Amino acid sequence: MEIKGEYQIDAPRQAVWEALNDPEMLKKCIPGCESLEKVGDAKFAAKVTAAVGPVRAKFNTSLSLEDLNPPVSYRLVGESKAAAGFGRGSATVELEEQDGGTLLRYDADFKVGGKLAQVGSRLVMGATKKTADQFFSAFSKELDPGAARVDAAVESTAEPSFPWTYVLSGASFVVLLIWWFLLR
Amino acid sequence: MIKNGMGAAVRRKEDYRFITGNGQYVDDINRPNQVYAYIVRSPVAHARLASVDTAAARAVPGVVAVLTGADMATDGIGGLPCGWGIHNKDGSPMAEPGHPPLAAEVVRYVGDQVAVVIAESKAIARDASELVEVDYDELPAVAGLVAASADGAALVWDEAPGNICYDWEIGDQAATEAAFASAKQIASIDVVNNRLIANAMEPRSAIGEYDSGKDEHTLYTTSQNPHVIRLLMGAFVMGIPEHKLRVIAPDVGGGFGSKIFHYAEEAIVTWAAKKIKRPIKWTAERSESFISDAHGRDHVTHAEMAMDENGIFVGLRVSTRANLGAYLSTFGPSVPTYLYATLLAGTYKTPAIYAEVKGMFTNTVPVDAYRGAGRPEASYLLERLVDRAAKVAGLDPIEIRRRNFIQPDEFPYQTPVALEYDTGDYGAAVDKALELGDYDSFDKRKAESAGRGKLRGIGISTYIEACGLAPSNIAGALGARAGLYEAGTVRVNPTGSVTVLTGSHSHGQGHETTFAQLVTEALGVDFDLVEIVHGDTGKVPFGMGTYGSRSAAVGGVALVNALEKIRTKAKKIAAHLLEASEEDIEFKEGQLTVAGTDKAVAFSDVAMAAYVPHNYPLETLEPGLEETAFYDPKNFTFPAGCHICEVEIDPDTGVVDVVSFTAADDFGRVINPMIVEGQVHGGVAQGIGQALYEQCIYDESGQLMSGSLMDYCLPKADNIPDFSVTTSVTPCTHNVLGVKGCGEAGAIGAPPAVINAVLNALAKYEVDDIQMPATPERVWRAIQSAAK
Repeated sequence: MEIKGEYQIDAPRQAVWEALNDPEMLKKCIPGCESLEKVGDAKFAAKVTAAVGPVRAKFNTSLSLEDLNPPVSYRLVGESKAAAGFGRGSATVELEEQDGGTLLRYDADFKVGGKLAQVGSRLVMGATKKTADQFFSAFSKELDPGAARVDAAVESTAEPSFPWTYVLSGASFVVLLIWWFLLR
Repeated sequence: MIKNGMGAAVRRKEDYRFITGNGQYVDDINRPNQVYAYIVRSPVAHARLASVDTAAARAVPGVVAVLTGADMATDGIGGLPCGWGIHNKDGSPMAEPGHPPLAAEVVRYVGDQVAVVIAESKAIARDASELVEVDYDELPAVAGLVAASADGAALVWDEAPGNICYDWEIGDQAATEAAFASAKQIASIDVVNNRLIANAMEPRSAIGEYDSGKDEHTLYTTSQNPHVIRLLMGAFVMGIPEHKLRVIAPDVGGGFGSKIFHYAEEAIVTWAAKKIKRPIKWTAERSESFISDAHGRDHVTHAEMAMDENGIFVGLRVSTRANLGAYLSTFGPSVPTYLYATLLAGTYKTPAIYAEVKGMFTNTVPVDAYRGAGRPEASYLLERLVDRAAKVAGLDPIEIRRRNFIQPDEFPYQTPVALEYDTGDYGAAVDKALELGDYDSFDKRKAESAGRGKLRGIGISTYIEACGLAPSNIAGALGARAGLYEAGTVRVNPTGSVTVLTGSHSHGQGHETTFAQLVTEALGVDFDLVEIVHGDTGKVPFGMGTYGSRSAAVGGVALVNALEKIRTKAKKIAAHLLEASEEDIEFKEGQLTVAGTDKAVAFSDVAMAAYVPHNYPLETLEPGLEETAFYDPKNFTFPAGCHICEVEIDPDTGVVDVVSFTAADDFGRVINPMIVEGQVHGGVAQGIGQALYEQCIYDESGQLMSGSLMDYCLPKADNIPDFSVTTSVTPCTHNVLGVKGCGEAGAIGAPPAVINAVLNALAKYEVDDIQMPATPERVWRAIQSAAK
């Protein structure tokens, strides 16, 4: 499934890039993040507890960053596993200077499996949006405690053959993807 | 008529305990020192198990054991057997790969069993299961018939090239081709019979228990046929002889076929209980049921009907691909073959029929019998095709059916596809249904609907099915690996109450009522003094269980035959007591009377005499009053009928509303009309579910998308109209009860009636096809594309 979104963050692009690459910052802002560590060159491992609808699980996530082009763009490739299922996929993230702040765009293509796919399909989009909103809200506040304004828009394009949804895990996976790839 | 006897609409005895919450289901049973199992299931559709690391799970406090497929293999546990072998066109046997209860090397569908975690509580077992580290080396998967049939498709099994389990045929191909060569008109159709998930209200559950003192196993399980499970698991999986294995299937909350089969979890808890020397309970969660209960249907078919200039059918050819899932379930291979293609004659005199069926493996849950099992697929195909043939021939759908019906004076009728119908009157059922459904004034109702902006349509099906499974010798010749008789024991107790031990199993059918009615009818014993015992191999001598609408037609007849033996012996005892000749004894309504006199003895006194034989013909007659009969039917039974559905469609939204449903069914003689009507209601509701709501969907990687009740749409009360139900009876000619079976007919007759009604409603848009389920989206799109 594909999920796209963009967020306007009231901070300069360089600051956003750096924050996105600050493990402590990410850990603070990612809902349910218990640990986040660098395990190799542009490779990360994280543990995140995510709850979407009826599924709550601790995801072990591994991420690698590719096509790094600071402070403009990168590509995040990763896999998230839990007893409740798995998600895997990739996302491209772009930062653009706009209106004195930074517009962050992401375009993720991912797949979920196991119970996440089975039970959560209708909830994944909403949960993804909510998790992403939570992250960006926290992230914006951290960067600019005064402004704390977040404009969020998530749009999804599910494949026509599956007008259904995917799982919650998908949501947390996307969020993880975005944040992790920002880490260094 | 005797009170509460044959034909009486007696209220169901069992319902009091069910509606007061006193049913005793497997999950209600708790054994001393019991622990709980949670199954680790594959989240991927196809993978090699690179490693299964159970160390972390085993370290969790409260975890008793974590066992894997490797442990099972070490213990020499066998694979789950398939109960029906099918042969290819060339005579070679089908591909029959193994089915380990716990996968040891490769997983083949999402939900395949990988390991079992056993702990002091279900919560601990479940939590610990999350610590079982499984490394899946993913393999390419095929998740549907189209993908499995593609050139170069990934293989579910190396030993099944092209993913073909079998390539089977039935009928006379040359005669059929000749019929097509001479045909004046041909109608053709492509249909998909949508994959379904049974969703019984009670999820499956199993408790394994081992008595080391006696070396005896007990398995409590949600089964429709405990003796079959004892046989399959004992002989083929575990190597436990019958006398050391007791299988109990207590109250079971719905089966619809999905609880016929021998499932991995039954073997897992039986095996593990001996290993850890404690009883183990496993109960499926609802979402687990979706990925571990056998699914149903899932056919893709092309068919053509050849006709002469008058719309008389001269030939039918059918080509079907059937999805069997990743492994062969207990009866999986028989469903799209002998339970499907043998019904393709329908109620019609089509003289030449040829059908070929490819059974295909896919990386999905195994597919097996679901309410109707093959006959709904046949009925849907044929009744849709007949409507299309009517269009081609320019005939009314009812007229073309009447022209082609087998007539009442043509029975017994040998079809071109192996079956011999014993009796029927299909035109009579149509007459009854048309009258009850007020068919003639449909145009008025259609105009009234149109006034409200709604499209009203009417659809008919004149289905036939085969049930009362089955004559063992015929079934055996067709590949069945079991006999399909039934056994019944009647134990008359000393005070005249009666205990019946039946091999049939009630999981909603109401045997405690209908079988008691048979006893009351035969012996005149008060209905409340009859107890029906079923579902326990430790109590019931033998049985083959309940599926294929066989309980009355096979189990009921076995019971009646045992009752006849009781009547014969009772007459002998009464003759002695009354000092009369046995031939002069009349046995009626619980009294044994010397014909033409007022000398009589009550049946209860005869029973007492049999157990207190002070005044008794001991030289010629054994004491006691208990008889057993095994009954193997001579033929299948052939329920048939006419279903008429009316729908209203909102053209703006595509929502289909079933506004009326009429059924005139020939079930042969009826034991309890209220229970029969209830069976029809349930079957039709499931048929409407298939036609309009239910669809099991996998994504291309084999993930189940419709894996919960949020995404798998079951029909609800507000989707179902008030039914008009009647019967049109021709008694079965080859069993003493004259019964045919009613459990599945609704699910067989309803789907084509509903879809034919939908297409009738859309006639003005010239929509000539719509696939099940006819969801609002599909209907709306059909209207939109036609409107362009």
